[in-house]
Amino acid sequence: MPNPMIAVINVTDNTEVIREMTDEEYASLLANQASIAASLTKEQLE
Amino acid sequence: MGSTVFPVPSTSSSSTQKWTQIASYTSTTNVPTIDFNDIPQTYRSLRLVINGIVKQTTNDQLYMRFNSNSGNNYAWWGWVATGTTYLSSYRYVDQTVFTLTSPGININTTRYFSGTIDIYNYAEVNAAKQVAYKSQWQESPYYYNETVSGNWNTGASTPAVTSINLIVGSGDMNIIGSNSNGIFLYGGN
Repeated sequence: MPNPMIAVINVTDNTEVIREMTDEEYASLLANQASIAASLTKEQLE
Repeated sequence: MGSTVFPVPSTSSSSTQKWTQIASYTSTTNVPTIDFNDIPQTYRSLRLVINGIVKQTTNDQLYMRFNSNSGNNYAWWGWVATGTTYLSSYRYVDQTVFTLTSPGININTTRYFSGTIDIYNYAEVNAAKQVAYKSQWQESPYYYNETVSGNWNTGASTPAVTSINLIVGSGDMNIIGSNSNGIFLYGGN
């Protein structure tokens, strides 16, 4: 199964690339998503 | 570049204080991340306008980072309501990401997200980056509205914002391919 796609917009050059993630990028994304979900802490004000 | 006063840029082409569109993204391709990189450092403020993002599989949140920074440098408070009913107020401190969607009110295939995110002071080094945004999720018959004020990196060695990273909590997201939807980045003077 291919890796997910990633969209990268270079604002200065006004270019847009949508390409398959590298294995390293995909591993980093999965790690990021897992760590975000685990670490978010909300303080309810009322 | 002055940073202590925040005049509201105009959309009028004749105004000396105006918003200029500097990037757009309208692809309907399914992606888990969208990065706006190499942002010019020549404006006073940034405004990111998001019109119509949905998530392709199960519910999840939409996150935003600056410079792909994953440190505990994000803080904000806000409140959320439907068109007629107040729901909650909350605060987050020392987080690794901004959430553009409130926990419990995620995006999915029928509940789509739109929002306007202003980033003040983004080009100034060693100054906190103040953020304000209004988010909306539409799922008939409800319209959830969220108003947020926050900041990124209050420390003494804060870099300029050179990239904005949108990340969905799992799976993919995409722009709804109708009604001129998309993500539009403006620079304001």
